[in-house]
Amino acid sequence: MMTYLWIVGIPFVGLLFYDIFIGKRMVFQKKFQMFLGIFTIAMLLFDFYLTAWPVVLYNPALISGLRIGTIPIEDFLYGYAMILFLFNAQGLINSVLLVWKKVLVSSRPFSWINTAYPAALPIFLFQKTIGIDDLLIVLFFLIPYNFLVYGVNDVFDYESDKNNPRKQSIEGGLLEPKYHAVTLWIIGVFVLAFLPLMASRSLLLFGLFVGVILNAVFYSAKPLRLKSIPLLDSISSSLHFVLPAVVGLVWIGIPIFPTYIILAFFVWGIASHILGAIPDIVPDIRAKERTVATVFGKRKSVLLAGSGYIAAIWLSFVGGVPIWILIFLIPYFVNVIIILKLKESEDAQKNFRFFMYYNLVFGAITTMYVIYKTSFL
Amino acid sequence: MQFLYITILLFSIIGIFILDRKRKLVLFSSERTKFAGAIVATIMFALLLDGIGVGFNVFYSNPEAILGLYVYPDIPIEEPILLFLITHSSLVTWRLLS
Repeated sequence: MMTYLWIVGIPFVGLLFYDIFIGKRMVFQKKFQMFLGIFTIAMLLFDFYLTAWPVVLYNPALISGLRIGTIPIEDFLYGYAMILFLFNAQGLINSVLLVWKKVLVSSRPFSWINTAYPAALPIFLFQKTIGIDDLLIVLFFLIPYNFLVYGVNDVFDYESDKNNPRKQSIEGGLLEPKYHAVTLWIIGVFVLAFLPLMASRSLLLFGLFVGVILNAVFYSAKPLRLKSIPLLDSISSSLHFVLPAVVGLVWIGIPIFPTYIILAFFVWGIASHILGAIPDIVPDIRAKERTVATVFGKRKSVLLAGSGYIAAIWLSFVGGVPIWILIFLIPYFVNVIIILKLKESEDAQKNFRFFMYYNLVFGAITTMYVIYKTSFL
Repeated sequence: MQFLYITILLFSIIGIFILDRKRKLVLFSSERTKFAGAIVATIMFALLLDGIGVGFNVFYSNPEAILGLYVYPDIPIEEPILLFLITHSSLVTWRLLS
């Protein structure tokens, strides 16, 4: 329930944290404490007038009911949040601009859809509609989740990414060390904000959500750093995209779990990760990073990815996906064959880019099919 | 009594303005752009909270105490004026403490 306490409490706590850890640490200054005293007295007088007259009325069901005189205590949080904002305004504006420029780029906006879509699709398929609550889940996997996955990744990869020209493209920008702290803070705040929502639904969902976060963090964070353990790197990477779908399914409390489809998606994710690691073979070896592709070499990796795709298609047919979808999968296989014939693994870069763009096309086809299925059948 | 609230607000704002101008504290100081930016940003922030508040029906204004002009459904014209008074007078107070 969105009560007054939540509406002002969350910004107040957020701004207090900002002030203490990032901002000007105003709350520790004697002069500021003195100012707050004066502010509180002025507020008592003015807000008493507002609430006693009354100019402003409150919905009794949505306030805590605790009042100082006629003033709901939430009003004080509102006032203090505003003051904290006012006195940190310049820093806050700069932080927002910084987030816009750095964290946003770091999170690969191009790929946002790849994590939001798997969460949204099961909800839409089984409920035939997406409600406001559901939208929160989809929004989480659209933006904060990508802040988490790629932000943590860019912080921990800074050293090895410095020499990778690919980092200046749609696959994200290089994140300088001075932005590391603020990036991690923003990620932490966003992710923590969603924990209560998950816990309120079910314990299973909460546990799953914690798993999602751990997988995202330890993909690149030490000590696990799954991305440099061959095979586990592909599994963890695939889970980045599969787990949002599982969260979506658990969120709506699906009665029959579509095991084959999820497995197909999982295998597809593994294969795609292997494919994506191929252009990085040379830079990864240079940076002493071990991936599936550096261990197996280019040729075996491509074959592995290709077999993965075949296995994924077979699993999805068992799971009930119509056969005609094969036509639209042909470009994936042509792409794999082209990579197989390339001499240098680094040349696979443009093929991987094709893969990323074709995903959008295939996603659009899937979407149209789903809309057709849900609205006419 | 529809005019009482807005009258009190404007009266207070004029008073603070006179003080500000006389002592060159905030909007009449050399750093006026910085202060104006902070005031505008804070007003936007508080209006956002107000918007969420009225959106969830947490609070609403007494139609007998306001002019009846709105800047957003259920947010009366008096609200941004009040927010300006709070932010401006806060900065004036802060400068006076210095």
